[in-house]
Amino acid sequence: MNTDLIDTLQSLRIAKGLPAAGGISADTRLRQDLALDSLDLAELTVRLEARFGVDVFADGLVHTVGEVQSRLDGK
Amino acid sequence: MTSADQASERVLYQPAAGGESLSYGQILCDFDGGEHPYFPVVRPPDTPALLRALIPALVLGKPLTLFDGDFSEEACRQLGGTPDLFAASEPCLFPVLADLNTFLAALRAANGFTLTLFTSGSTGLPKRVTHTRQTLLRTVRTGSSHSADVWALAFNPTHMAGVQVILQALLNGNPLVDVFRAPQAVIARALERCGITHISATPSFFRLLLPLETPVRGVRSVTLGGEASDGGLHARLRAAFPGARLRNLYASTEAGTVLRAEGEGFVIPAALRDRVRIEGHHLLLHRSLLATFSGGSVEAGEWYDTGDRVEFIDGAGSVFRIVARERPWINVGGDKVDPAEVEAALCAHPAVAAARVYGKANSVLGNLLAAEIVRADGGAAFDELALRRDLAARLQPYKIPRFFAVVPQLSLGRTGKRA
Repeated sequence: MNTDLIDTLQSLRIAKGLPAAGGISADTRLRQDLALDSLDLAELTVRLEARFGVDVFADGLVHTVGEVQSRLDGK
Repeated sequence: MTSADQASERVLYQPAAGGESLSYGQILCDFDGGEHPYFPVVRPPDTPALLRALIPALVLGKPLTLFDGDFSEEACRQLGGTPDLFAASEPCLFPVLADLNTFLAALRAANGFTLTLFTSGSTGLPKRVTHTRQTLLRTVRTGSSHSADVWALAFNPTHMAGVQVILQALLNGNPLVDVFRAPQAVIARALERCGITHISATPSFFRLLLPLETPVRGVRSVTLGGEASDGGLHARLRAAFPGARLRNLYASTEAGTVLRAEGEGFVIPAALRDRVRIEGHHLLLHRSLLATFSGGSVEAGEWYDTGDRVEFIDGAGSVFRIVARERPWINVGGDKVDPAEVEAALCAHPAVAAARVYGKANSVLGNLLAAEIVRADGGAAFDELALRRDLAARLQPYKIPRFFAVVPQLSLGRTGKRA
């Protein structure tokens, strides 16, 4: 998993006053497991687009960290 | 089964995730000809509490003021929300409403009801807006064709759009399924499980909901409002809800729902021709359509300029779409933010000398807030997390900027006037 992606996810949690999540994997769900809300997902997509030039939510919502990674990889 | 039994079993409210529901019968219990407390000002912790305040006010024809459950303690205090304010008035005589039909007739006939809500204001504090029964019920449709509708409640129930969905359901004795802020998977399951037929929501709500695993045929009506939508979303909605009519609404806090359109093109209906007009590509509303404001933001005069620019899409100059909002509002997933309010909150922080707030476009919520900040001591470093925590105590979550840049001086503002 891309470390920039993991770092971005952790910083979103920390900004919400949550502890960094342990063991983020491809199956980790953005909403249920990482407790990200729609404002966090919007922030995530802006930060990832600035870093990678890819809008991960452009074609509809993705649910897991692995799906975000796939979009970043252009799959 | 008697009609009273039917009322007691008919669901008025149920959370999409499951959990405690509220039936029409539970509401009717209070309408027994006896005296009960009535609360003229409420800050409901949840939607059932809101319904328990709204329904007596409607039936009794009394005023009701709704504080948003999202308001910070500080905003509430500044708006006069002291504990005394939320106290009950003298007990009121509640009429006998024995069954659902009597109840619905009483709701439709009642007079004198007013509803005061709060909306973002340019003064840095939410503005108080008072709607009469007439402006609130103008677009509510009633009749036997609506008796089997099941509404998804996808808006904040203390905002104008949420109140309009609640009234539409209530005046037809329909169930409301609460999907506001529910997780995507829960909403997707509730669509079929609760038999939802009508959804009115922001484009952002649908962007976060779609795609669904399988199309849902039971949904007959999908209404979009509150922010601009696009053709891509329309196509995804048609795939997800093949049995639904797709509509756009033009609504404003000042006037409630004003126009409905099949697709993108709005037409001024005959009944509103003397009260809605287009002048120099601006949409104007007659003052008789407007609510009463406390802040005096609606200038005296016959016609109110909504600040919304329209463009005709037919040759005859009658079908139009809304192309741009010339107000300073930034639309965050359907919640409109006045940047001046957020700038004022930022400048209240001792480390901040000046601030400019603007929207950063994204595919999830349309916009998110970003801020440029000039530090009071001229330095470059600052604790972004501490500032966000400080703002969280004073502002609703969608009003808190997510991106900060420390700058030596502010760039030109939205209006081009601020240096």
